[in-house]
Amino acid sequence: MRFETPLRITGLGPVGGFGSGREAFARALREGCPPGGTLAPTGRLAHRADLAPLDTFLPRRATRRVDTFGRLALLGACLALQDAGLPVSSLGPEVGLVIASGHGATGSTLALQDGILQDGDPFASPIHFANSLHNSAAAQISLLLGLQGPCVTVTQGGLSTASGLLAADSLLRQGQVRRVIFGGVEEAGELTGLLWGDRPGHPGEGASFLVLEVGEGPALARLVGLDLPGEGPVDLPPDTWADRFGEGPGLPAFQLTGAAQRLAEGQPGPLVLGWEDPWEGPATCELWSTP
Amino acid sequence: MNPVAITGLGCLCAAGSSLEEAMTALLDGRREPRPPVRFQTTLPVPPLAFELPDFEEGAFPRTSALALAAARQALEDAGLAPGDLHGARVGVIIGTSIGATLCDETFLQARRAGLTPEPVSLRRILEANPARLISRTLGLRGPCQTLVNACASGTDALGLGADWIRAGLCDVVLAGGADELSRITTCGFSAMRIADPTPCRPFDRDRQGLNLGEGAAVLVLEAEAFRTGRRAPVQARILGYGAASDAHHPTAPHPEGEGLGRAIRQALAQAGLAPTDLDFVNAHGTATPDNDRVEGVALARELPGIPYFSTKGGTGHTLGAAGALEAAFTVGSLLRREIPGSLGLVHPDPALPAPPVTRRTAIPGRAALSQSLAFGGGNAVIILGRGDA
Repeated sequence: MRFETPLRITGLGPVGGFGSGREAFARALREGCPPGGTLAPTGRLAHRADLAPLDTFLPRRATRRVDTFGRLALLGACLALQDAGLPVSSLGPEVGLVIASGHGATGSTLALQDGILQDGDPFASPIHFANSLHNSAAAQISLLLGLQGPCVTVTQGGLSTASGLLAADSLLRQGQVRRVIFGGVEEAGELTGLLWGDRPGHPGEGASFLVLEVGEGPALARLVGLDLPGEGPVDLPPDTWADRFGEGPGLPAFQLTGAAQRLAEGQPGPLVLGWEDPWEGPATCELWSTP
Repeated sequence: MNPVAITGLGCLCAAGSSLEEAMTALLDGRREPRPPVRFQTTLPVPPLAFELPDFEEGAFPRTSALALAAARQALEDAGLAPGDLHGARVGVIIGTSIGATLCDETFLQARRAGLTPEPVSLRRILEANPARLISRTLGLRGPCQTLVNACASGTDALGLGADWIRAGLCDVVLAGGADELSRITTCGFSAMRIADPTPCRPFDRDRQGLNLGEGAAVLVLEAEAFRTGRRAPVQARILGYGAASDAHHPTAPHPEGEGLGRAIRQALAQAGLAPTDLDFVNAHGTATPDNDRVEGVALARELPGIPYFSTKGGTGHTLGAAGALEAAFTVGSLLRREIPGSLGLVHPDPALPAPPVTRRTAIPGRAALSQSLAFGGGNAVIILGRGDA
């Protein structure tokens, strides 16, 4: 489908094993980025994100109860807003949020269950419980950045990013908000390692956020269409995304960021991204440069 | 905004295994919360819950199986066989909380004991997430989305699903919500100190908290061209949808219900209705002290004089399914032109600006609003109208 009005991408906020921000992301795209972390308890190599830069946006005291999943999302959102030249607080009711994640807050999910198994039912942690909900990251962004528009969290395996873009378009097209912060988030932890099994490659964690707007105005790139399931030709050649960012169902958002970055740098469009989910099949997403 | 036709409804909950059964029980004021039978806890005070002990999930994750059962029921109610949808663009959007969580105690216990079991159950949760299971099992072709917006998931699924129809993305959308009763979630709510060990009492002076429940509801939404092509009658219509966030607290609602107020006003604007056009409000009404107080304040401010009630006294709080179940009950009430009293209510809280409906009451059956408030400060509102109104 063609979006009724193309979605303007006005800010990018990538976080991953490569670091954080557009420069680090672009460097990883050019030079590659081997996995620099590991997963407990197996020690499997993985692309792990450094979340220390979050302290430059929010005081540590404000995020002391936020888990890794929430911190990834917060940092990605703050970076995207900063890149768009927007404030990172008091966002108000005209900004909405869509988060896409394949596995959700796996760290808190596991911690909640572990705590109950180890200490008993009466000692379930209320903090782990609240953080284990998939929408906990959206809740933290809303709370800490003062975002009062609608918040939507989507989980659809490898097509989470594609599916989430539908929600973003819906919020903008219905006129509920002027701007949507959209992000793919994936946390790599023990559950990730268990699901990974013995297959080759490396899991990755990260967050890739975009600021999306409609109407006239400058933009890094424009999202013009989406097909679920995809039927069009994919002319962006397979990329070595996995080598640079690791694999994870929420990480196709990095491809989106990469495409927007390349269009912003002058690569002629359109670029068509192809995503595949083993159970749902393919999806495509088409981006153009700004005129 | 153009209204979106609802041609079929499927509903499974402790009040009944169909919308007809559930409406009869709710209107009669019948309810029977019990200790769960599918699992045990060592909580010092055994919980009460609204369980579906006879529902068999088979090989699928329970939440997904509930969603699939509700979807099949909804299609049958709409007069649609799965074969009728071949060649059509059919979207599936289901809200859930538990249904997307990678949780399996048996697997983790084995790991902690030093074993190395294959994560079969975890992979099955991913493979068969609620929307995906419905879409694949019924052979549907179209967008597929599982929403995880906590307690507002079901309402958000209906609102966004309606937009897929208006945007021309789909001919038909199966939209709804589902959630199972889970041991881990039961422990989690107990830890938050918002569960009532006795049958819950929404909006009651003596309310202590919620009872959990399980269930699913799916509504068949149809584009006008598809619906008129097969001459399907309209049972109801989605007239408006609104959603907004409190940005106040990770789990507690804004004390003045500011986010809820914005969502209500958005939905009314989208529907082109004034508050006086509404016959009633199906409130979120979880029976927690905070939620019910906030809803009372917001409703008195935004929709003064409009009758309201909670059905969670008859179904428990079904989390991701709640918004969809309550939308189904809202349609059921419009079609029957009567609403139930707020189940579980004995002594209306005098601190509420206006008391909820306490007994079965006749209504004109024009339009009504159903609202959901979620952990994380989400608020979602949907406005529904009778099909022939």
